Amino acid sequence: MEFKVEAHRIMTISLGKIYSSRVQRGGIKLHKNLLVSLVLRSARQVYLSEQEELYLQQQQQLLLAQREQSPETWSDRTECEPPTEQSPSWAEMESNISKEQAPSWTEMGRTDSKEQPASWTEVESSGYKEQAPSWTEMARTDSKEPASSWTEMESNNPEQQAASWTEGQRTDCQEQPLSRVHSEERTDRQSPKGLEEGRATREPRAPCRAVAGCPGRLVRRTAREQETACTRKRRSPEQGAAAEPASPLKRARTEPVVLQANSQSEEEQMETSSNVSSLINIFGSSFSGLLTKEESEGESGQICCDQVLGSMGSWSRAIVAF
Amino acid sequence: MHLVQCESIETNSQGAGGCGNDIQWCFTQVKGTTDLDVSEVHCGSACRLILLSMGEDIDTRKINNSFLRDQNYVTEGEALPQLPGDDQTGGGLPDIRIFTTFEERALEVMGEVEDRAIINAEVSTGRKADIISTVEFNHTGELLATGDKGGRVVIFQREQETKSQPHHQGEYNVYSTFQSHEPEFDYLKSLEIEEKINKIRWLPQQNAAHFLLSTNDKTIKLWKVSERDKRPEGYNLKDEEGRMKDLSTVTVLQVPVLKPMDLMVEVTPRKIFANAHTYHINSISVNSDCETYMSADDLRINLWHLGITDRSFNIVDIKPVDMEELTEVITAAEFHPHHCNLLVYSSSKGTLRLCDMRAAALCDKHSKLFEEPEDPSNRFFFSEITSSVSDVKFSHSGRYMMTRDYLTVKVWDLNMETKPIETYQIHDYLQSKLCSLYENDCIFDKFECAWNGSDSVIMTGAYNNFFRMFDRNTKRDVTLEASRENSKPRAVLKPRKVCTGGKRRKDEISVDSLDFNKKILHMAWHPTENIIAVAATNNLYIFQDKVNSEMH
Repeated sequence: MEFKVEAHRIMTISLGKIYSSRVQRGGIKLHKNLLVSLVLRSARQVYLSEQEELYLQQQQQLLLAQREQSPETWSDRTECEPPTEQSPSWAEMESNISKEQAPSWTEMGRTDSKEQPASWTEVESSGYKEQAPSWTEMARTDSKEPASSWTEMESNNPEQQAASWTEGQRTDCQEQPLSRVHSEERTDRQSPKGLEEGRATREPRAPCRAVAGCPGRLVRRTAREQETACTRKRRSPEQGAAAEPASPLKRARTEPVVLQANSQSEEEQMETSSNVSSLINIFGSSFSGLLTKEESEGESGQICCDQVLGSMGSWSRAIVAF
Repeated sequence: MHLVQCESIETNSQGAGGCGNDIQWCFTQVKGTTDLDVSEVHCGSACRLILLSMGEDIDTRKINNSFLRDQNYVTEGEALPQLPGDDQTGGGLPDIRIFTTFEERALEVMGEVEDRAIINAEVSTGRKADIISTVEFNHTGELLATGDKGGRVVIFQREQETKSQPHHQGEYNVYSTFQSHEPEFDYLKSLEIEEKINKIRWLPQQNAAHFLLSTNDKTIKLWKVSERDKRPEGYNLKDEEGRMKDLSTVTVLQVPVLKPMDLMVEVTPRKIFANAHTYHINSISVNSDCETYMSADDLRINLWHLGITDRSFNIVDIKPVDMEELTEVITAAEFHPHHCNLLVYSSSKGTLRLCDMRAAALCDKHSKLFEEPEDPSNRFFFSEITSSVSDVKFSHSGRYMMTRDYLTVKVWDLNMETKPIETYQIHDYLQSKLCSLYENDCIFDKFECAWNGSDSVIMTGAYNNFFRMFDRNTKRDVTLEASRENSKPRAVLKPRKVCTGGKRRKDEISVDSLDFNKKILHMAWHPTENIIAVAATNNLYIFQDKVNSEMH
């Protein structure tokens, strides 16, 4: 159990490092980020293995109850896929920015979202009924824990994303408008959400089956709001420092997009996967947003984090095998 | 002969593992004030301390092409402390702070009975831009170059030994200071390029001038360092101040003659090698053919000709087609000291690849792969980080090479790829602290390592301003500290020990009280003599072993 806490903590720290490396002077250091992503992967593996043991213990008890809900889970998954597909195209739009040096996590996000359906498909084919119960069960029984960890991760991520969006804004001002608008339209069709717009409009698309969902979301929203304030404050000095006249408007536009992707991935996770997976999903989708800034044209600088997230699919298979 | 042991007896066993009770202390002269803590162990004579101030004109950060020798400019920031017993003051400018010299004969290191005089030269400034980022001796050891985070390079020159004071071996004084790199902004990628000097490499001297290569993350520059001690006088058309003469006053034609002048050191940029690296340059290495050199970034290694700046050849490229599959990066690279076709590069996975440029134009395929299979029991969160090689250095003989990863130094024989022939634990007590070191980013510190001239001793840095030396022959090792306390008169460079067990002895330091902000990352060893230059954040310590020449 200690390993789990430790692993989680390490993952949090790793994400913080990756975020802060974006804003540091001199550009992103490929080597350090590679190492951090390796640590993240190791920590996640340990974390997942701990989770896996936990699930197996509780799996038998709630098997029946979960079976009823598994069809719903499946439908939710299909619902989720379109939005995740959105981020790849969005990433492609952004790809005309040449930043070959910076590792671009866009592909990672892309791969990640592809992996998600892939793993789910696999889950189905090999017996999703077993797996879904355990995941959902986990969501139920560990409601407090995932919620809190989500909160923690959420509080990290929006800040990271928003701030990094700001960072990105500062640097690639001109090319944003077109692509942003485009993606904005598309995401707006989904559940609109924006920091400035407040929390009220945020609608969980998935049914709020998981007990953990509502309290978790509430906590998260609060955390987000707090983070918004912090982010706003942080943004203003950055605004001042920005070379280009990056408008708050643009920032407002981008944030909903990022957070949208976030919320979607969250919702998916709440239904189906452990909080770690959600963390990674958030990680993935947020990075898809973050890194579109820095992807060079044609050359996607990637980190093995893609593999990290890809390996998550293999974990799903491992879990299914049980 | 009575040897004064004083309370040094209990400290005899300091120095992790090896020095043991064989240490014998020699008592010799002491120069300077004697108000130091007597309880400190010293077998010292005097401690010669040279403090130089490394600074610059307050209002300039531009390239200065010429300097009057020994002229020092003071930086803004904290004033340097005046040590008691100053018997030398810098002349001329009021800002100069050249401090007293103490000569110190310290304890033996390496278990041999030696007469050692440790000369500490300390350069202290106190600004973040003054953090030293590289240290390098030239091929004769006469010049010592340091680069810092602010893009400046300071060159020290060793004073010639004077016959009147044969025991005062040459000390290093400032020879020249110049701004090598400036911060830049890459508009295309919207990235700021740091001006921090990553590496300095001297070229072998071929004429009166000295040449060195300095690099930041993206650009390599070739600098020419030359002296001027004569100037022509007696022009016909210009007078002494350079004003044009009134032609009517010119009655006789004269031939200008060269008259001696105050020595002036000029540093001029001769070549700028830019725009060849997408990622951050981490190493440069001059080939033994003295015509080419290579520069290595995270994923590529380029070969340059020293005279051609608009072209470079890519000889190693480990960038995967799909960056998703990136698993390792290049962390250091070096040419073989004698074979101009061989180069080695290390990776973040802990592997070394020896490449032969004769085999193919692109040396992606290694000729030899040096890798030690990982012990599966060591798998933990941070095993990948700690196995990442931070520095690789060929021995002077060319037979061996040494790699430094986070916790160990390994010596490899070029003929054996399966495992290193020697592994030295630097600070194994940090194994349990890896998580907190990861949090404060210390685990990413890149320590360098150095061979001595005869390849018998290796040296590397650690935390708390400790640095460690390992004698490969006697298998002894010692931990020393570069600190101001040891730089005071009669301060002795005594072996330090980190206490790993429960019971802490008097002079030991516990692992928890190590200062991880004080780290020795960069260092250099004189090519032939036992003089080492150790950079501790923004201070440069020069330690010298005053051993009789027959010892070596």
